[in-house]
Amino acid sequence: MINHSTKGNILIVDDETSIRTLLKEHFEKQGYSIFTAANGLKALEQLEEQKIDVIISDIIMPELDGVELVKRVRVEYPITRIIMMTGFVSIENLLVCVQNQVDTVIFKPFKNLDEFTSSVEKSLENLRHWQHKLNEYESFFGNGPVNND
Amino acid sequence: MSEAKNEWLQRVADIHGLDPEDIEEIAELCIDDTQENLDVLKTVERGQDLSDAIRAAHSIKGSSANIHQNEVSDAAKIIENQLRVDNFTDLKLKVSNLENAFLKFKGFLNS
Repeated sequence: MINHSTKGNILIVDDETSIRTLLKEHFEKQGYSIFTAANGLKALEQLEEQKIDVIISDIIMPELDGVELVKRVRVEYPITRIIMMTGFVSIENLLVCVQNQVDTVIFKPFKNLDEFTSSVEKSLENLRHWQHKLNEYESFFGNGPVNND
Repeated sequence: MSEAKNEWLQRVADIHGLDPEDIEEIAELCIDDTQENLDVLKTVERGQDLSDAIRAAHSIKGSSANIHQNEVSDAAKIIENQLRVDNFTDLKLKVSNLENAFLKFKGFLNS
């Protein structure tokens, strides 16, 4: 569920402190609540504790990489939106992104951060759409076991 | 570097929609990360598992490019591409080139 006290909750996952900070500063200035993690395992810990609307994750990371993170998130948090970023693209990684409904992939280095801004806005729109559909489902078919995490 | 530190901070800040102070903080974090990753690259030897070294070069390439330090980023990119195909030709020299570019940037940031 989108956090209405801010524009939304974003989890930024990257092993590079400078990149996490760059994106954190950028999105905080735009009114989002930002959480960060240095790898996929830390990201899963954050997801257990916070309601996250959009995950922005690097692919190449130690411990648990972005590909494995995406697979886990899709199973455990099916409605959470995902944006991947990478400086090394392989067709295998891109296919994993497609298969796991990643909203988009942003290639590093970033020319500027405009693509992030527009991608997050689109992802939140997508999230609102599915939340609306889940609510519709609930009103049509009663209060079944709908989990709109 | 052809521009003064303040000019560079303002230029990168404008590109990312941030303040120069933010960019300076991010650049200092980039320096710390790069130093650690450079240490990994200095110890790389033929025959060892290269995944950490590839990740180190990849990280330097990305984080330096994002603050528009292209000399550092380009030097790291050459090393990353070589390691991915197990090519050790002049690797020590290329790591040395990367270190020189990094030290130049570090000096610039401390100026």
